[in-house]
Amino acid sequence: MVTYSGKAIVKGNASGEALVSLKPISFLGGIDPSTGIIKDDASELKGQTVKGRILIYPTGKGSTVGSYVIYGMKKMGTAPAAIIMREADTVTIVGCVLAGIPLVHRVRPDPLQIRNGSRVSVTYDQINVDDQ
Amino acid sequence: MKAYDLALEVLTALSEAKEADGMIKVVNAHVSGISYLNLGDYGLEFLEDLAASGEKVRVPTSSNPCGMDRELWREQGISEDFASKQLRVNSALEKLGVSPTYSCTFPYEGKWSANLRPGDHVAWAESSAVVYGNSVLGIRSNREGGPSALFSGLTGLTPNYGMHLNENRKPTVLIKVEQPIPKGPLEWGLLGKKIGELGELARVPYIDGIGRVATKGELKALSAALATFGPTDMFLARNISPEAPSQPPKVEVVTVDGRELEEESRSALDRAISGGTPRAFFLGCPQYGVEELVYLARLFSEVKKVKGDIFVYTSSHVLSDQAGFRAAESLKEKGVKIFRDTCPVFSPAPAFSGGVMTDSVKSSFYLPQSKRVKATLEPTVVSFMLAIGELEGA
Repeated sequence: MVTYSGKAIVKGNASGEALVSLKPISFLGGIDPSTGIIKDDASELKGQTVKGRILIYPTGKGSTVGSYVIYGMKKMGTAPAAIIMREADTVTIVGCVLAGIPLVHRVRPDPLQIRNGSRVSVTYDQINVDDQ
Repeated sequence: MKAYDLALEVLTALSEAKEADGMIKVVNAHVSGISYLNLGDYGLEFLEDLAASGEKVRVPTSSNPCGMDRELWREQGISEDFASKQLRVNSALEKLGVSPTYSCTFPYEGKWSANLRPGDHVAWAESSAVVYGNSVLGIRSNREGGPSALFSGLTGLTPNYGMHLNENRKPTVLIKVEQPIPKGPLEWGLLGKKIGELGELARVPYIDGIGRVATKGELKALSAALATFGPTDMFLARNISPEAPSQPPKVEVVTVDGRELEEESRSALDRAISGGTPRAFFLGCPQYGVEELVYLARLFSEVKKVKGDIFVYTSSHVLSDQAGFRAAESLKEKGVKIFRDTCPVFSPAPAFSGGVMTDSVKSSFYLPQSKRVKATLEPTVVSFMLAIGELEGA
């Protein structure tokens, strides 16, 4: 078990399987909101779903309308359980507040080294990763 | 959903994340991201949920272009389905008290701008307006997103960081523009692109050698290009910017040769004339103001009829001005298509299937992205059309 800590922007608890994107994510156009499946051609995670996962990525990109997509995904049950970032961008912050999705950023050590599929639990600004 | 409470919660989270110095009051707000093309059903539903609260904005809040001309959408070839969704977006916004300006230039050209004073804090979500406002009007705005600007409208507040603070409004680089001084929106747009591409260095460029000669249309083109290609939210220039120091600052110097801009613009014209030329022309990114519309009408004064497709985008506040209205009417008589409330980047129409020509450096970047069409730059639409015989002379 490895413990990470950061700054919680939207405070909450969640746990799930890690989905780690090394590239920035755009919610508008990059993800199919009806399924949660990543459809961005530039993403190494294309075809995987963010639904119920602990989504980890460096920062966001793309249209600010992406915040509404995060809100819509929560309503439809396709949203990630929590989001962990190096540095949160406005699109993700606004979307997570609207949707009530726990969001932690400025995480140490670097959260991008968390392995895909690890069990992750988020408690406020604490992140526990079970790599077994 | 309680609109005010939710808005305050979002702004507080943003303020904490950006380590802002608390919250400050804004004089007005300008909301973007309202075309159904970008919003989709998720955005539409969110805005309708928000509007169902019955709450209204607490400071005057204007709106960016939507996905269609509210009157002429059928003529634009917009589908019934798209139109009905767009009208639902608009009605949700209007229920929230947002003014139906549907313009990217209203914040600095519309009637509220007369009351703005240097130092006023605002929350604008149109990047070209943010640069123009910070630089030419001396107002203070960060480059907001559509949702954050709406929440500033609902609360009258914005997190106090970035361009709201004095320390971030100081020149970071000195741009020396050498003679000749750029002419026309294309050359000024190219200047903005060159500066923007300097990256972090170009946060607040002090531009030397352009004072007092720029027209409003040229400053709009410069602002739009700076915002499109760089991190720039403000430039400083003597006789233009209220905050420009009278002496060039002692910071890193970058020289831009005016002849290069001229050549770049001329070679764009040559390429356009020799290449397989598109027959569609798009003017008005940012949307044309009165000054630009009147100028275009004057250029066309000798022209009887336009043969190719010329699309000009403008705003309601321009067409409700007498001179703007007259210019628009005379252009329409010659076959120029004039639309308001919208722009090709935010609208499914026109599709520009054969490519398009424009003098806007900003839209030459966004059109290929959003519509996957080739957008060719050219300096003055009229010189080009004369060259290929698209205008029937008097």
